[in-house]
Amino acid sequence: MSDSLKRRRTTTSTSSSSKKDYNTWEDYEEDLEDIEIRSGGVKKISLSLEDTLNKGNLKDYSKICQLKVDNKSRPIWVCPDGHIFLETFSPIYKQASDFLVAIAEPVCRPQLIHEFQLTPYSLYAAVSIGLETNDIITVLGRLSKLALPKEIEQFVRQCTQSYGKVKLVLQKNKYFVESAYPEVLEYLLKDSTISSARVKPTLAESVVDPKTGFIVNKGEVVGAQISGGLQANQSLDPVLKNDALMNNLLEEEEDTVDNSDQQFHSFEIDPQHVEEVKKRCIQLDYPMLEEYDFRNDTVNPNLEIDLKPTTMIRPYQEKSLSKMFGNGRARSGIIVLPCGAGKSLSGITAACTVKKSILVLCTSAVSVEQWKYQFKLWSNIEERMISKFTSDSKEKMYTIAGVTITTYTMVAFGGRRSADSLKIMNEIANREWGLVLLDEVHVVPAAMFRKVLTVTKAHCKLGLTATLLREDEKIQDLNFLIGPKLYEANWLDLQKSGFLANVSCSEVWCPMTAEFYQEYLTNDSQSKKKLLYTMNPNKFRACEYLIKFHEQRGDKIIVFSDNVYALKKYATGLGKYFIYGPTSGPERMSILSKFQHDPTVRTIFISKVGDTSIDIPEATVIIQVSSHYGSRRQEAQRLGRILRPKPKSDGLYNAFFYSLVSKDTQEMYYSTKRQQFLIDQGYSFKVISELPGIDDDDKLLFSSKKEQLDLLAQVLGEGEESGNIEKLEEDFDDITRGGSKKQKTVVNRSQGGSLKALSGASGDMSYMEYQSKSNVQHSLFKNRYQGRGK
Amino acid sequence: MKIFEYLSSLSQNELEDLYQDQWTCKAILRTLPPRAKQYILKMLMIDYPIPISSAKEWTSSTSMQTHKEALKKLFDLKIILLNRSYQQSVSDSIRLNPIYQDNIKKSLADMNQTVFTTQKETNKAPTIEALDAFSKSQWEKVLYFLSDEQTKPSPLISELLLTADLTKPDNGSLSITSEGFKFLLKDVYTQIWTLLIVYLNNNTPEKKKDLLTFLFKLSFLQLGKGYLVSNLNDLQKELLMDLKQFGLIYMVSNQSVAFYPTRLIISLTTGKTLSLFQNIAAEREISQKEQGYIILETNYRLYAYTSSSLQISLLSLFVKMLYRLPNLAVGIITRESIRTALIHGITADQIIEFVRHNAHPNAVNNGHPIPDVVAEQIKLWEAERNRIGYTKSVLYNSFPTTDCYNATVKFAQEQDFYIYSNDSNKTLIVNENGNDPIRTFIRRNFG
Repeated sequence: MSDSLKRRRTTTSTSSSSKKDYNTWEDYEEDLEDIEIRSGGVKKISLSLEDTLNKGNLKDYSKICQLKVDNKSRPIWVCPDGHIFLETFSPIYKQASDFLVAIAEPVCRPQLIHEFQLTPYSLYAAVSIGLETNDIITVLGRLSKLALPKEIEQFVRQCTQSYGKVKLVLQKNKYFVESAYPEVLEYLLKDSTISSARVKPTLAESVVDPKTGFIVNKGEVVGAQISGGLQANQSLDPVLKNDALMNNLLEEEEDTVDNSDQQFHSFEIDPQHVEEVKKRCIQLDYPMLEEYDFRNDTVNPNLEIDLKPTTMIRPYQEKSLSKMFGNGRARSGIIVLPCGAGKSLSGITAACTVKKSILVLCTSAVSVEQWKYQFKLWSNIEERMISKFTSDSKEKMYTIAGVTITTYTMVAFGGRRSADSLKIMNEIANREWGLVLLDEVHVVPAAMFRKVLTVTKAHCKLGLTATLLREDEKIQDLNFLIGPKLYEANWLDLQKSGFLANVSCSEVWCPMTAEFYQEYLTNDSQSKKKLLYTMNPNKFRACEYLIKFHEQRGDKIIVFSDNVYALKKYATGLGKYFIYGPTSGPERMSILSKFQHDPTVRTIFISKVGDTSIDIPEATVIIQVSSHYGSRRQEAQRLGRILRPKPKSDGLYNAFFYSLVSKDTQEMYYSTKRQQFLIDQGYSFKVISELPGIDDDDKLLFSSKKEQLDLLAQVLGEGEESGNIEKLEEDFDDITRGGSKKQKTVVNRSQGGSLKALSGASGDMSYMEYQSKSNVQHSLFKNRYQGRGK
Repeated sequence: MKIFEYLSSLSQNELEDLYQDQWTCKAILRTLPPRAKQYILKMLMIDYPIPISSAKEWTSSTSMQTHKEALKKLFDLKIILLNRSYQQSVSDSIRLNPIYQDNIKKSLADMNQTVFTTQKETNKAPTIEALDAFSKSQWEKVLYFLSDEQTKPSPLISELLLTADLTKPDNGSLSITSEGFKFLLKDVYTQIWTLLIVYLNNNTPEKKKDLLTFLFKLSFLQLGKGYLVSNLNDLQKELLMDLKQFGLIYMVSNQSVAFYPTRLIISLTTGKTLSLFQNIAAEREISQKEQGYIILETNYRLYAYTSSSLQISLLSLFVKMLYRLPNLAVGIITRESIRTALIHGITADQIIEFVRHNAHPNAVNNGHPIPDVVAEQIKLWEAERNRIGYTKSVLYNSFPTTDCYNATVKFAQEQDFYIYSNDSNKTLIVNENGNDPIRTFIRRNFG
């Protein structure tokens, strides 16, 4: 299997254009192999852990688990398989929830009961933000209504014992290996590679332990001053020290670790050998967490940037950043906030805290513009210090320290570049970036990330996203490429606190007309079927009806259609503006600004280019006509377009999301799949099986049978490709169903070094599980890194 | 209450036979709603008919509804009799049923009655908790039998379930009917009465009366006390053995000298319904409001605070169960799980009502005992099954001429027989009723 896999892989890569290209890709190819093997290993662990979870068999723990006597006052259940249930009506819900978000992956968070899952990744993240094995186990045990299952304790120990114990710190441009556990450092120094890289401490060093020769730092945990005047919390989760919890569970003694007395031991290593030491540590099963002590970095020039005094950051933004700057240094990681909850502000605040050169990577040129605007809006940075680098505008970078905003594709581009583009690119590659902000990290394939991250030298990476979700389950790679997930906000809580709009979600069922349905049933072509249910006249009428209804109310409406044929047909039929792939940048901007400022332009039609990063705060209504199969991410992203909080209007809801589906077609099935993520966040989709009065309104298009039949004839007359969904250059997330995968690969191959194929997203490759021989160490990280070491 | 429905169905003679017994009269009085009780006491000492118009003065105009309901109940039970007047000048009058009046008077006046002789205090007597546990386990056996066919209750109960149409023979074994599913979702007293009434109807009318009287008597016994079997008559002894199988009566063995009533039989006629879903022993401490145990979320996940296997197997009738913990069961409502329930004859409304009825207090306080979206979706799933309707119909083709075809279609449309027609191959389908008229129509005009 793995042979055939390799062969196929080689075909993909050799076919990719020039020899030179192949060379550059070779490294990534190798890394990619690592990733696949690692994720194979990871899958195995989670499989044994989750067992039959996906098959949905009943797991009966009623005999195995012991109920505590005072279970009523405790808020969670911890199952032996790592699944956790949390009561939101518990008095200590807030603390328990904060704690669980830090150590476990949220599965679903509706009104009353939340579910979480412990995974190796989530525990890795917990460790890297400073939680310790014993704390996790103690607090988990304390919160649980059930006696903590042994399996869980084992699992936590196994996942956390060696991680997060060693840090690589860049301080005053010297590299230090740091740990709170001198014995770990001693263990590491037994290794010849590491000990040879060690630099003996000079006299100038502060305190040196006479026995071991380690440098000792005391009271390291001074929270960093997050820009905006807020003091970051300490690294340990508040739940550990919370009084309410203590009062509730009196019988337990306070045994939490008081962090302030902790000593950190460290030794310096030669900058030349950092890579080797890092690799070696991974092989020794002590992967180093990288932290950036930006305050003591005197080599890189400071950037004059601060939040404007009028800029207010919200509690959850502060909380997420406190995880990043927990111990006075900057950690790399990912922050997950719903669309519209102010991801950019979080990123900008992080930038204002680090105050070094900042590189921002986004998914499209439009979003580059919007980032620049946001920087000017929230911070006091001078405009000349911000440079854009896109295919349309190649601005010179500010010499000393500045903000550069560009797209992933620009940086990862492998082909020939123009002279000025090359010059900027070289500068990007040569500069030592204080912070790299990665926008919408979930849409970018792993291979592109690798390229981007190898090209740019960054002290700290911050990923931003709304939905850590991919249909190909590749999301876990981000953990290793960027860092662990630092924070994930709860949508419903934010909505309740008014930070998000209150959205009414509806699924509108449009019956197929008899003629269209007959054709749908008898036509053999999949893409024709798709076009038929998209162009269903009843759907068209429903769309027009909803547009009319909401335009009268004074709403601003965005209509999404993945299918370009339908997009054009709808938009021209109704006389509205539309934006799709080929629409040029300036034209996009002009249409968007018309939509924002011109009261007569109330509705625009957008293809999937509008899914991410286009910020249209005016929009209050979304109508979705056609969409990308069962992509949960797309649904969430689109909803995100209208989540920005709206001034309270008359009704309960102040934003509307409609998904139009043709009844009795495949669309119904996909629609249910798509909604799953939002439903798990506590949203509910109301089914509208009939729009009131739609049949009486004969002014709508396609009301007469003749019009409908004409439309049918047109649709049938269209070429095969009309039914397909638009393919975009920036389309990273092309993960479709099983059926169409084969076809896709062929296309990829002919295109050459397609990112999809390289990221594995094209999907007709599958991998055998990688069998780990040693069981002593936790195989999650081992497998990942050993592959590289060999 | 089920018992009232049953009593109301009896004839005046049968009821009056029952009212011969003082205990029965008293038991019924207890069970009636407060207003009906009050009316009986109002008329208790009046030996002559009073004009019906004066009854109107018993109530204020605002509570007319409850007034009417109370009177209706009393009329139904023939406790109040209506004398229709055939003269214009004299209005209709009402009075208490003399037999009932007589016996209830006696029973209320007599303070020293005992129903049955109690056994002397012994230390062998079972505790109240043990009695509760016994009746619970006995009755759960019956319900388990319905919800999964593994355990088999006594022949008597199996027989009753069959007669009550709750189960049906299916390839040599018994399987549950749609009635059976509905039965499972009801509260325990309705369930017991349903079976008891089937049981009563299996007996001759004379026996039936004695049995009912005995049941009413039993409800006056004291929980935790033992009563002597030897004081009962033969029929009563026979019944005792049967009631034991229901879990209403506890006896150490069939030969025991004493029997012990359980909470179930005592509260059987008091009208207080409690659900077996609640641990009966704990029921006293828990207020009415806290009885719910189900949380249903908008993501179709259902959390049940329960440790009872019965409740869980009930829920699994329409929920796909995922987790079971010592005091929590977690499941998810899916299209498939609901369809299975629907196929078994449970209706969407029953499911929704069941969840609403047993909703956890926190869900109730939140204002959503059952999320609207989920309720609507369950209804949509039900509607989905009803999209194809069947109509018996007749097909006509080979019309001799287009004129004949057109005229017939027109005629069928006018007469409301029309279902479907296809002009290109001249086919017409009409409903069954239309067959004869259309044949005559064609014969008369074109034949």
